[in-house]
Amino acid sequence: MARRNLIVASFLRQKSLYLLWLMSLCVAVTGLVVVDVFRHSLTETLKTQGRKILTADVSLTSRRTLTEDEEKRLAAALPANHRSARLTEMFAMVSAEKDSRLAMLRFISDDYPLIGELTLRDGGGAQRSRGGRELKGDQAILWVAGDMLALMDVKVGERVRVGQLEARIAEVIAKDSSQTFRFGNMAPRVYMHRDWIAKTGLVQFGSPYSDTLLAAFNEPPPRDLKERLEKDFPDPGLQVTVPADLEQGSLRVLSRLLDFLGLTGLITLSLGWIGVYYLGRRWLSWEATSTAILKCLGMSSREAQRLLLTKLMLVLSAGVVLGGGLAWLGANALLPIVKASLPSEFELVWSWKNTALLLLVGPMAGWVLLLQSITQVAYEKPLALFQERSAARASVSSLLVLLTLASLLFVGLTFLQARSWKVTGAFLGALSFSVVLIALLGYLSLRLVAVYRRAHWGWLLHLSTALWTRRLGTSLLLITVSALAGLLSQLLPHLEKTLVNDLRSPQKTERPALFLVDVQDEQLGDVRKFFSDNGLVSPHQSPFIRARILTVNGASFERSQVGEWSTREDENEARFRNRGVNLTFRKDLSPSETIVSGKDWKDVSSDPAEISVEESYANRLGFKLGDLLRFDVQGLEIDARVASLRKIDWDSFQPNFFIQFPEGVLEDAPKTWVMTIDRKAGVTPPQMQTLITKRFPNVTSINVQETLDNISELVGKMSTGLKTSSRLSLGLGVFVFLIILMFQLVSARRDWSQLLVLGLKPSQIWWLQVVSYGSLCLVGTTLGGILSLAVAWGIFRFAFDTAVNFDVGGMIQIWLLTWTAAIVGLTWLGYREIRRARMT
Amino acid sequence: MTLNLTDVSKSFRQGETELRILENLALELRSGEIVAVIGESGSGKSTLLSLLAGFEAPDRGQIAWNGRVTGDWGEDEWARFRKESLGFVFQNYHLIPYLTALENVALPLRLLDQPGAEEKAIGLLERLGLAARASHLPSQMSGGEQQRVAIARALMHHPQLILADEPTGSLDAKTGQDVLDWLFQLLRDRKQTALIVTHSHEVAERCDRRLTLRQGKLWPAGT
Repeated sequence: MARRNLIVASFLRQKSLYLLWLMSLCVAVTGLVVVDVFRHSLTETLKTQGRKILTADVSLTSRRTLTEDEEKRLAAALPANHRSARLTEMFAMVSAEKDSRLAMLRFISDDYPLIGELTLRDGGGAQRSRGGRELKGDQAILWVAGDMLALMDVKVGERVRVGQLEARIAEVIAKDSSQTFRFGNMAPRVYMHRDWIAKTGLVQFGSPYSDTLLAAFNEPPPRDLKERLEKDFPDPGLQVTVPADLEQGSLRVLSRLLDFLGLTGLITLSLGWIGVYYLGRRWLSWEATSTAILKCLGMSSREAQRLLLTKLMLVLSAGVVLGGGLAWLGANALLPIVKASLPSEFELVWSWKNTALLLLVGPMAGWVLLLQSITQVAYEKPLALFQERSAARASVSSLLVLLTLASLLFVGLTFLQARSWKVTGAFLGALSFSVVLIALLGYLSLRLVAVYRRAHWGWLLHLSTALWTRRLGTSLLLITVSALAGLLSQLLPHLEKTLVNDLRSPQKTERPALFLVDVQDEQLGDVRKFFSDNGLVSPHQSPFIRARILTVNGASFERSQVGEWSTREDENEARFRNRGVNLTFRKDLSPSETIVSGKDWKDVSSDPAEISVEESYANRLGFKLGDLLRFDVQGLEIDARVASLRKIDWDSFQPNFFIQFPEGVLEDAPKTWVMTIDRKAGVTPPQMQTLITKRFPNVTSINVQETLDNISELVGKMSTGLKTSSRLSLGLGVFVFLIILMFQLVSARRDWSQLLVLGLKPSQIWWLQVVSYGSLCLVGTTLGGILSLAVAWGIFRFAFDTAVNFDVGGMIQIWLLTWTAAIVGLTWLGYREIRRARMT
Repeated sequence: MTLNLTDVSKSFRQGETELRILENLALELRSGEIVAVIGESGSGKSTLLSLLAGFEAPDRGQIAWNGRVTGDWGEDEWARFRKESLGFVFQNYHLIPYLTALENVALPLRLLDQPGAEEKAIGLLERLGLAARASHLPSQMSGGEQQRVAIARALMHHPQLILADEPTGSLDAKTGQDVLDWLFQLLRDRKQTALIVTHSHEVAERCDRRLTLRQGKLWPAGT
């Protein structure tokens, strides 16, 4: 009873401290939890909607046509009462009278979709659910996505050409429950019955398509279904997919963004933690006396510790509840903005994992940060009350323990966000380096001021420099907090400008207008002649050979599994192992390729074959120079040794391949060709596409600029998320800065009083505060700005391998904004303290 | 109530130097007696209070309360003893800043889970002329008022012994005099045993017995 009253009274009567504490934590956790809510909601959506998205309980996919034998074996391996369907997917051109467009063609069987629904709208606007059987008929008909009609300026009922076949647009897709963001805006969907595949002429040898057998069950499928089927179908070229797998595959694009946002959220959190820790220490310095009094009144140290911990846990729990609530509101407010990039069935859900994260970053973190100090206060002998000895200060060893515990917690959180040891290491390394560098530079600057400080300096400089150098810890903390907030917020303009400029850079005008795939070997001559007749220039033409890696140094190149807790690197490796490999051969390297290690390309031998592997692909799959790889090239086994590793400028949009053979090995292998076409004055890329598709309907052409625009749009969406996140960090940084400042000003109230007594005017004291503390913020934000230049350079140099475009204007704007916010806050706090000092 | 200190010694380390604060100190305190301990700064007055309250243990010698030797008392026993048998008055009042005057005074009884704490506290505040300040926080009261509240808190649960550390040390002469009047009136009315540590001869004069702490030992004043 007494304890409860003590707690309630303390909360009610010291509310400003508790409110500030609450706000620090609340804002600190909000950004991270918003990201976490989206992450888990996506996972949950895919878990619950996974069957609808897959349209089945299990699928077997290959990048070739599945054989009858494989179909029979699959049927035999599944429960007897299963239902089955089939789907063939590919990117191909659809042409109308005026225009041709890239589409995602989906050839479906009668019973598609087995699970979920495909709702269509006819010319009159009526909607109804449909299945593949209704596409069947004597006449070829299509169901097309609504944006396809707009893009090609056609209407329901009109005819379009798909490959060599003319088909009528029967209805428009109103809702497709299998649609995820997996293929993004790359191409709108078009459905057709499988009966028409052959007549389109699109599935030829070497064409890039996937063939999928789908199966659904009336009862829940066995848990080990995937493992069993993978044993039955050991060929790595066959992919068994169950709904749970969609969590990894479909989330890939958004996961990257969420990982990055999560990491910026961690910086916000660490700024918040600085605030929480600082306020915690302030709180404990107040509580120390009360605790000593309570101990004099008979409270044991253990009871005092319990009382302090209860208060701490209550404040932190309230902080995370509020933070969680704010995160939930924030996520709901953001949802309409990002909805277009999410699955149609996406719903925000609150997962137990969000609660666990909140508990981890709130009460748990508070416990780790403050338990030691609380124990110290609770077990301290209340000698200070008898004025003989001051309370003990934290020892270096206890600070080291605290730092270790906090670091471990932070490493754990970072790994949870990034799910990659590489990213975790890089992020924490960069952050630690930045903090150490900021603190070191700050310390050296202040020491320098201390050394060169002179007694004859004017009162303003004299007092300011005394404040900086005699309260070194606080000065360093203020510099570090403002520098960290400044670093993150000033980094963003560089990242955004570089990413956007790189996509639209004037230096990249040599980028082709079109990228052509699926040019058949026997068409090559005709295609070249057609280009020449029409004044089109194709500077790059590369053979495209589909293959599989069977063994590496004699060991089987096995399918690698990923589970719920696999790292991003595991997922990447599994993805690359399981997807087969495209090969090419060429005499000379293209201008976008550079050998980084191993033999020069002109020295490689074709007997035995020596190959060059793209550097990051080799790293991902663990290939080294000298490794012997055995390929299955359309049934023929070929051995080749890794002779060199290459770097590729993928941005060039030239045909490039992960694995490249020298001439003289693969010439006779069945192949298709990929080509690029240069821009031509007076002809737009869509006009070129229409021209080519009319003559070669099987050839798929990709409008490079349109693709870049799509990527640019994605970058825009990403940068909106990043901007919001960095503004939150900036706001919290200023907030924490002002909290620290507020307590500094309060603790110096007697100093302000004395200065008034000594004859300084309030305006002069205010000016002293602005010069003293404002300049610390100025130093911090400037250091943060300079570091942002270095970090941006590092990110693009080492992660993107490209030159950074510094946005100095944007950086200065944010720098000014931060500094102005700090000065406005400082002005208000200073004015308040001077007023109180006059009354002291 | 009896309190006996026999051959009590206490020293502290300060770097390489050992500071001997108390050296074979002896003290006997009888029920209802008010004893003043006078000493210069650094003579060990506060250490003596810390030993009596169990915040420090003597290096040598023994302390016995009502015949019970405290040497083997654990933290919980000392805490219970402070809760039930000791009352403190500090020089700087040391009221809990977030509790009102009434709540501060009622706190000892609340910690003992005794009923009627508020009513008894109100009674005591009225007696001290502070009824109108009952709902005020320490920061809203003058130094004299705060010290009177602290005295009320120390006496609230009828402890066996009051330990007072310079009870008027932070007050001006007039207020200090008023506070002393209140303190001694209450101590005498309740036949309360008290040990008052002070610099002030005026305070010491009002006590039953005066001792001087010098060279680590207690001497009768004037010797």
